[in-house]
Amino acid sequence: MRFWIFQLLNGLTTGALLFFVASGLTVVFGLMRILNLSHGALFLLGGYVGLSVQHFTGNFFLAALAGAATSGLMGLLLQQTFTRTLLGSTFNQVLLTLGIAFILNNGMLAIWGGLPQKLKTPDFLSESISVFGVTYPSYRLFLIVLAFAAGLALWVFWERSTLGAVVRSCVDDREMAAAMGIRVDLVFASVFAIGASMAGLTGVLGGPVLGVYIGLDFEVLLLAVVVVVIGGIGSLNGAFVGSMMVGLIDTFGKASFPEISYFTLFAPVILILLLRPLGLFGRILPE
Amino acid sequence: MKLSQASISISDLHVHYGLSHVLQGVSLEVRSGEVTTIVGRNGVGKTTLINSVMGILHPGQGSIVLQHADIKKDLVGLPAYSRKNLGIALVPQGRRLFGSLTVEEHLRIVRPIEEGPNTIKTIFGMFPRLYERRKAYANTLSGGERSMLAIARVLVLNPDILLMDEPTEGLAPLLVDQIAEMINNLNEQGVTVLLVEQKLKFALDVANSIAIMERGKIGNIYPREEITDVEALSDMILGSA
Repeated sequence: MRFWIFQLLNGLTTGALLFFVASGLTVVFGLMRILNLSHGALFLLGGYVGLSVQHFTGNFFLAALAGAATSGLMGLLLQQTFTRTLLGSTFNQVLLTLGIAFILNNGMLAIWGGLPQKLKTPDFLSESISVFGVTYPSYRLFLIVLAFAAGLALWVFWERSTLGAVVRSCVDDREMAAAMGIRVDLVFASVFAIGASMAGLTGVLGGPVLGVYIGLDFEVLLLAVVVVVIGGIGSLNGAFVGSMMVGLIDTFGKASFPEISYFTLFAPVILILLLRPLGLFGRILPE
Repeated sequence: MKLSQASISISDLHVHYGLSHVLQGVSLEVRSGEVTTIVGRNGVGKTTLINSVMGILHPGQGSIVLQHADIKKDLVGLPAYSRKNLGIALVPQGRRLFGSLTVEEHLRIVRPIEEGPNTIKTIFGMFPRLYERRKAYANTLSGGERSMLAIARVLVLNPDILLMDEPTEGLAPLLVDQIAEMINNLNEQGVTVLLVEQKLKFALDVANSIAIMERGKIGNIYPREEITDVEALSDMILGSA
């Protein structure tokens, strides 16, 4: 029983981190129809910047802020530089953003080296506590609580605020949103930057759990794409449910059947897509 | 009563869709404070013209000059949001509501062009049915409710120039009469209206002048008084083909 509770908490921790990454990816995809394959690299960039800031200042929260800001600015730079290409065909987007992912990956390798590294947890979260009879690191529990709180906050913003309605109107019909006086270009740039900064923030938050190493960018990207496909493109609710599902399936799969962990991850994905081709919360988006 | 009145002068406008030359030199005066109605067969470019005025489509050649009391500006090259800020609003063909927004959110996300008679409160007074359905998502509304919302969300902007592309499409006769009355009220307030319409009786009920469009160009333009009835207008359209 202790094994199952432990794996459940591990799965929720992975799901929490995935939610932070996938929510940005899915909103950018839904809003701008841009499949940003450099999202994983922006995640890792945040992690590395956070690592350096923590090394020099010893402050985890400063590291998180710096990681989020750097990835957000990098995302904004990419979006502003390549807007024309990014709004073109999906093929161009894939080639461009994958190319950017490799360039960022190599740049990080040159700056931070190839050895896996880890961020330290903040002091006040460095202890373990007892939950349902198992001793579990408080930092990981903090991540789970943070994901639920962030999910709720994002839901309130998305579904209940006027600004959220403005963003949704751009997802639904960007031409009409512009005709109603909405600066769709500013909405695009803001959402892209916020999505990128959330990826960077997750790189730092995940640093003490997953570590920071070259290759993690593509591992995380793959899982985030799976989350978006399961949850439905452009759906925050879908990103939340999909993240928790993928986190749990991936963790239980690796713990119980490590030799076929990719099968245990992708078999449910195929099943969901067979039953619901648009994902759990997906809908057909206008062109 | 609105004080500022606006007019639009369209001159030698050309729009292409790929290899298709849809607008082939359209020229039209949309006079201040009047309802100008464009009629014509399907596929002659009416929607393309109205979307070009709003800035959803961008012409390759020509000018669309907006004349206000205090400004004169060529709209070509300006994005749609700038045109809205200059006082232009569109009720598009097919309504094009935001499916994931509620009725109330449709009215909340827009910022009025200027202080005017319409607020969210007055709009709900004008459309009690929309008030009842204010929490409903647009993709759950009936055809009539969708039309009301498409009009309500532009009225709340208090526009000086209202572009309407077949606002009566698919509506019951009672609703068509209500929309005609609404256009007449707006016109009395000084709002300039450019209307594309297939229902000829409706076109005659609201128009001050009627422009007949034929294959990418504006043909004849008639003052309303010169057209006796629907049959006469129908003959004019057929005769222009």
